[in-house]
Amino acid sequence: MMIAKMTRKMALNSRLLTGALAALPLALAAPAAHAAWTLNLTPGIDSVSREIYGLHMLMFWWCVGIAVVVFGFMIYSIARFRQSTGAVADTSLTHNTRVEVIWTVVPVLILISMAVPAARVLVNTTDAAGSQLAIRITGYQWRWQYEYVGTGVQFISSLDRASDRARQLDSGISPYSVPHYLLNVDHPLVVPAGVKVRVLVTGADVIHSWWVPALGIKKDAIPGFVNEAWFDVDPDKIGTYRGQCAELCGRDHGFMPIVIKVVSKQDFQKWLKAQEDALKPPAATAPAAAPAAASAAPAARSGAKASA
Amino acid sequence: MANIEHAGATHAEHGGHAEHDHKPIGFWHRWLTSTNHKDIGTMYLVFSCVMFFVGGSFAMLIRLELFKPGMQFFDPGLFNNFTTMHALIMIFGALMPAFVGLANWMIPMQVGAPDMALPRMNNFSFWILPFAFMLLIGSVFVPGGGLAGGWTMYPPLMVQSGYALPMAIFAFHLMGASSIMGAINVIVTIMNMRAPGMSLLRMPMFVWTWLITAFLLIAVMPVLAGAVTMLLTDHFFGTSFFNAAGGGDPVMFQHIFWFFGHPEVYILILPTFGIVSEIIPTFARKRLFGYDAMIYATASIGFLSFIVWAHHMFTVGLPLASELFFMLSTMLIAIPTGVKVFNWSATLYRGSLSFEPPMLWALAFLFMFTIGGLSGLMLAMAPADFQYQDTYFVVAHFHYVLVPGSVFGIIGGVYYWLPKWTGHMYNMKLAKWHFWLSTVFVNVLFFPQHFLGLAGMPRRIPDYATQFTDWNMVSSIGGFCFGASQILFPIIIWQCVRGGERASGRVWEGAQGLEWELPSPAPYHSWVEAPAMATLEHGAPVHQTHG
Amino acid sequence: MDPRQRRQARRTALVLALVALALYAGFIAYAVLQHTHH
Repeated sequence: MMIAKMTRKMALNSRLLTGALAALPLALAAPAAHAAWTLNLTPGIDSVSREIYGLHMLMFWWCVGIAVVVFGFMIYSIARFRQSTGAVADTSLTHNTRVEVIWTVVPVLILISMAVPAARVLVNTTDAAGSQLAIRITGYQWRWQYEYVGTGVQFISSLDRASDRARQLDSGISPYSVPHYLLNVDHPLVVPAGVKVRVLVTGADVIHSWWVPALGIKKDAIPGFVNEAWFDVDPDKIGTYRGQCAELCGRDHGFMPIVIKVVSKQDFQKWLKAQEDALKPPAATAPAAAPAAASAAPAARSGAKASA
Repeated sequence: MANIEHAGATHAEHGGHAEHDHKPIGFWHRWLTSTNHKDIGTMYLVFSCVMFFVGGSFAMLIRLELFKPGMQFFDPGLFNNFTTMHALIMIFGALMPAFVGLANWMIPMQVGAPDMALPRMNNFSFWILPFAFMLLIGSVFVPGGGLAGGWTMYPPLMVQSGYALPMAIFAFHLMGASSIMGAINVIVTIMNMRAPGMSLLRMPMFVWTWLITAFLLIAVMPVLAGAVTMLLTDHFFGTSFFNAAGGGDPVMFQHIFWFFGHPEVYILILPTFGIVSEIIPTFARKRLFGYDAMIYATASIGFLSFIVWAHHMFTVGLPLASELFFMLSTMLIAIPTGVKVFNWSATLYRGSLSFEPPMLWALAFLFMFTIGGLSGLMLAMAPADFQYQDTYFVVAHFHYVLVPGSVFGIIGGVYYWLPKWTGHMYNMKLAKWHFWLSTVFVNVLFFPQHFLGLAGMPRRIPDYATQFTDWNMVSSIGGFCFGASQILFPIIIWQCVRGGERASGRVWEGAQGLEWELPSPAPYHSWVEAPAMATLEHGAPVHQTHG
Repeated sequence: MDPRQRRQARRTALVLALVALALYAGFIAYAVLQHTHH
């Protein structure tokens, strides 16, 4: 399970985070045991998300460092120069050009050291050259449509039935009884591992945002625009990963999750073939449909409906 | 400054005429037709306090629904309405009027003027507000449901609203007009009515930060008005400014909105910078360190606020060059902001600190605003922002700068100047309780939201996956306790208005500045005669000129 | 305020109000131009 994997990797970071920020006593008891007290970003499953994670941690440690110095100085001053302990104010201390210059220049240098890696990662995220597969993603109120460009395979991906029933007002169904409550869909997006995939994101009605933390991708789906992003999942990261719409898009904004199923290159070819076969006239598809994933046939059908 | 010499002569001539402290007789006459800066300031502050609790109630409802997973209380559409109203009421109803109220009370007293420069416009700019907010709050109850598109009002979603949209847009125009008039009044007062001898570089920091804020207001409120006007015509008059199907551009709205929106967030923090710069020197018994640097830093922040807007839009698919530009320009803001934090810290250094309530709030501001600033620096990194954008990490960030930032600054300012306004000291013990409860619970409320955002919880969702439960519960408990603690605030103020130990003119032993040269409570017309040079020197607002 | 000062105050206020109006009209005009050049 992804969450469990994520948690193990994060155990170290979690503890560091908690210690450094001295957040809440509750957090101290938290880290590894229980997935729910998650504290940090996921390093993700492809090069982009790992670079972003690295940048995030670099920034985090800079912030901790700056906080230690600045808060240290404040706390020292507050503890040391109290009227109640007889401190007398040094009223001559009103300005000092040298320290003003120092605390202007030092931050500039720190910022440069941050900007360089950030710019590098940013440039990399925009470089979709050499992709072998393109997927067009369209946001609807309130579901996603996926289309494998050039294959005719397309389908709609909506919140799964169980979550949808449980999330109704006063449904009486415990969210804990639903597997992956609100993070499960009827037809997940299937993608191959070890292949550079380009996604083309757009919106049909209002603005949505396609966000999968594990891929390090968040792209707004805007009517009239096509945004581009790419990912290249590590070959060993076969599994299921989840995300959500990240731009307020109306009443059911919270109920249009994203699920991607990462499969091996071979499995992906088989799956895509089955999908394509399912699109052919019924007589021809009958034998081919059998090995396909359970979701294949309904996916193709709902896709045909939505392509209108 | 030619007009300054004038001012001195004028006040001397007319001094006798305006001497008598005649308050208008009768409740309605006094408050409805008031042209007095203190009465109008009071009305602004009372209005802001009411709106703080109205906006806070929306926040309580939000935290109630988010206490645990599953939809327990509200329809998702209604929930979206709550988040939208919470933001709009807090920003336009609570924070901005609070700053205008403080400006009304303090600027004439601090620059040595009898009143604001344009008193009748002052009355008008306040009395617009109740009508604006009747419309805005009324929009919750109209057919088609209230506004549910977020305070950012992005089309095309916003254009799907019902009758709430035109009501809210009219309300924004009214609020905008009110803010612009308030800002004009502040600028004209500061430019025309300073006491002789008070050069720009001797003005108190609160006056300085408000002057810069007022220019920001005049520059950006019309931009918001323009953006919402276009939304209105898109909805009702068949234009398609932001409608892709009609050849329009939905992203252009975001550019225009954030061209307003980013300076707006500085409008919400700069006056607080000023308040804190008044409080810390008073209780450190030492002048503000690096007064000139503080002014230049504030001005730089004001300037930079106009060239960073698209950092709210890193995920909309800007060209690479724009992303780089806005990332770098945003990082630049860290420099003047850092200068401010360092100068405040240096003011503490080798001071003689005491910890009366205003100082406690100012110190809490210093720590927690810095936390918000640091998470802001993380958010500035465009690629990292792809993960943070529109998550609870952002929610945590801007609440750290707005609640323990702006709100703590305002509360600190009220505790600082309240004895001057009422002539009484307030209940110090209760005020300290208010402080400690607020400070503890504001962190319980907002700190876990960093974790939620990093763990992958988007903002503006009424229900969430079960792995987000724990931190949401902690956050909700913090929220309820923080909300409940705020009830102490009006109680303390009410008691102080009604009575209490008499306050001296100076109130705080270390206080410097012209307002402390007036008796407590301050006379109805502040400086009927411009303060003499000696008074100005004695008050020596914050700073001595280079030497 | 003496009359001269009052005049000056009103003049400043008027200029600032005109700036605000110009910004309002300017941004809408900008959007119209963007739209027609599309």
